[in-house]
Amino acid sequence: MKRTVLFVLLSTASILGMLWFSSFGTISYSLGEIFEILIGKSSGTASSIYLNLRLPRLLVAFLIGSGLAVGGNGLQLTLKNPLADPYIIGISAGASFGAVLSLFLREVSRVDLNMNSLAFAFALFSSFLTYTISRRGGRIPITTLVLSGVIVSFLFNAAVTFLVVFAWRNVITLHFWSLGSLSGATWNDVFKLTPVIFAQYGIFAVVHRKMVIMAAGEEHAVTVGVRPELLKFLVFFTVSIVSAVAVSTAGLIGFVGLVIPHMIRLAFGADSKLNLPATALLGGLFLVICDTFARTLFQPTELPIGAVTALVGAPVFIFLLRSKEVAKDG
Amino acid sequence: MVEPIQIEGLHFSYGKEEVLRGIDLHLKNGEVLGVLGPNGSGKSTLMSVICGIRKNWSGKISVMGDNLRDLSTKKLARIVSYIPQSFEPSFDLKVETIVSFGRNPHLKGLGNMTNEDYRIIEESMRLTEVYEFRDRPFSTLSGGEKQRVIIAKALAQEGKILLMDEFTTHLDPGHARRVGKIATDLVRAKGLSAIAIFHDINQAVEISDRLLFINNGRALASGKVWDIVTPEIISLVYGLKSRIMENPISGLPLVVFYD
Repeated sequence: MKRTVLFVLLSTASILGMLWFSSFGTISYSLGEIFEILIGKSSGTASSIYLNLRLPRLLVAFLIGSGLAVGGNGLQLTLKNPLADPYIIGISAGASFGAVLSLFLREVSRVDLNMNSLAFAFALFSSFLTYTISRRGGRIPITTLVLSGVIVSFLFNAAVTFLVVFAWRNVITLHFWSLGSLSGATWNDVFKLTPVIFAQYGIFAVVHRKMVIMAAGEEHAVTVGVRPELLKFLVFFTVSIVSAVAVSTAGLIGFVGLVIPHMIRLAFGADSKLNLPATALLGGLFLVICDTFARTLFQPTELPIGAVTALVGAPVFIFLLRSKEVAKDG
Repeated sequence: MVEPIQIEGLHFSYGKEEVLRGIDLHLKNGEVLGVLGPNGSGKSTLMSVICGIRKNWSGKISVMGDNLRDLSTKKLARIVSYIPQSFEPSFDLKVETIVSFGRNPHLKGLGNMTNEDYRIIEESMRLTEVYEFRDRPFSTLSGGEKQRVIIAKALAQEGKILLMDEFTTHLDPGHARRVGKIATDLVRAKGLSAIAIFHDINQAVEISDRLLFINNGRALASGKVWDIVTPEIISLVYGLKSRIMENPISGLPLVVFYD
């Protein structure tokens, strides 16, 4: 009952919060103005700026935040590890390498490979790389997974640096890939992200029960009819697609998939029916808030959004590392 | 009627280390077969092979007449329920959630639970007396309560065969007796067949219809308790001297060890 009330509050807060946060920026809007723009009663430069720049950016932030949070939650349950997240276990770094590689090939050798596909291929590769490195006799110790993720991330980030400097002879574009930004978000990005994020949500909604079973132990999962390898592959595959599309759109954004599932578990419980929708909503809202800070704190200069999420996420990571969930296993 | 489990010449290795070296085992209908053996003798490995956790074994295993290799993970889980020694979920899960895991192999389509599933879950929780704390987080329960929840899960699974791996070892004598009784009463009431691994030979004698001794990955002997519990076998299995007397209360063999 309490959880239902909490969920209704969260849903309302997400919608109102999105509208409210979209009012800040180099041009400020009142909520009334935003409402008029949205129902098509207003025209002019201010309204076209809102519809073509601010609104798609708002939606992209929500979609990416939502997708990363749901993906992180899926990784944490299936790997039985509260510290798993696409950024920490190196999936995002793999995706960013793939994305930069496609740009590099276009620039240097005029080979045109789809950025999202290449990002996906390397995201999937890095997820299995981290997984293989950290697996010890059928178990994945929590801290080993994190260390392997750090190493895989280092490897791919270094490779990105090499490619960028080699092709463009500067390090300015590196900022986008290493710390992320939503400043170039367009409606095309919204259309590209929407099906991917919704597909992940749908798949995870169907396998949520199995993911919770996996959280209670892989061997035990077999005895109630779950095939762990198949489920892990499905989760890696799905999270890799989402990370690839997110990274191609906005660069590396860390910690969303770590912080949000943890907060939702505290409020709703890992096994609640509301867990998944609440994770999606709070993840979206969280990134919208972070992006608002990134846009407005030092305007007109923008902060990279990854710096904002890390400022919130790193302390949470430290807290989790010292918490009882991890202490049992380390 | 087909025997629930027939195993012939089962071999299994972890890498180069051969853990099971040709085990034969027959589980008869409606019996509790107690499995005994020293640490590292292969008891738990045997059980994990039967419930599908370990795959690369060789030999012949048939479960309810079907070759184990031909059964999918899901189908096997509908026949065999498993009660592990201990159970530690990584996140806080409610008691009812854990019991509901037992319904997973029965779910169809997109995996939604039906009213029938909820009814079975509730009944399983009432039979094991965990219904009162169904909404509590599993991690806040005592050892005895936790094992009852796991029994409820196995019950909700509705398998005809129950595998129990030292499921009372971590409990004090009072709780061990109570949990053991709940499990065996359910086996009898529901007409199940069970294999139970024991640490304590006297507990095994009380609960089992038949005993099987394993040592070094081989089945040494099996039979009814009075036929098989002898100082010779015990010295062979555990390397200990012992005297067998009649338990004045139950009339069953009582083993006393000495050096």
